Amino acid sequence: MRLAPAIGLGSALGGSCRYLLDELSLMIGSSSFPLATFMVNVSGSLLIGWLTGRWALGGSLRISQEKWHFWMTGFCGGYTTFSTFSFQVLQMLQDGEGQAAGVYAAGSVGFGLLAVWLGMSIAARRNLEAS
Amino acid sequence: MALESRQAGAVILVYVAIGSALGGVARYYGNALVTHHLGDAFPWGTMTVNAVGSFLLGVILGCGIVGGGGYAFAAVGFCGGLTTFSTFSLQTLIMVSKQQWGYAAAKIFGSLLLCMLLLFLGYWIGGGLTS
Repeated sequence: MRLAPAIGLGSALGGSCRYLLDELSLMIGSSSFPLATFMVNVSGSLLIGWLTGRWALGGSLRISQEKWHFWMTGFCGGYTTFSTFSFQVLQMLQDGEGQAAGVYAAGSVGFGLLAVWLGMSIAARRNLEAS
Repeated sequence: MALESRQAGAVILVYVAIGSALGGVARYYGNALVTHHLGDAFPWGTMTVNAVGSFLLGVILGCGIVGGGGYAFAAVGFCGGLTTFSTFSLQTLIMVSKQQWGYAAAKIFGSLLLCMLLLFLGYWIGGGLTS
């Protein structure tokens, strides 16, 4: 139970950011493409890649367990979402927009992977400069 | 009026934050439980929490809860916090970097299919398809 407060706080913060960005995107204008969720999932992937590269590359953790779980398990996990993503893909399929569903699903997964790689690369470069 | 709607918005944000906190903590313990039983050769834990979160979102939507405080707490907060896209991306990228193509494909297509299927099932159980 030692880590629960850090994870809970991080998730609360991450989930709030996700909600606020979604609200912001609705104020700018609604579109059939779920841009807010896409941006949240890709940017969250970038962050988790960067944090992993910064603090955990090579297997050993360079920060406290609490800080790690606040940001990784809590913030990144609470910020990004798979349930809404699944719902959006399913909805597109049900609306007969198979192509849009494919683009959205493949785009989220593809850019998510690219973002993790980019985040790790940026962190690795910074680690190199710092050493 | 403006003040009232701003207060209502703040209350919704608190619902989202509390739901996310609970979802994030549930994700951590759910993940630990699944990993304890199934091992860590394949990240079953993340797939399980994503599947459960998608199922719950389906039930919530199927019950007709599509707005207000209940939706903010349960769907945006809890389901959003329980599921994660960032860890999914990170784990998949690690598989790709190890050239575990079969694992990576199973992770991507397995997660997507399972989550959409369970969301649909949840929606049906929630009554969304009959009413």
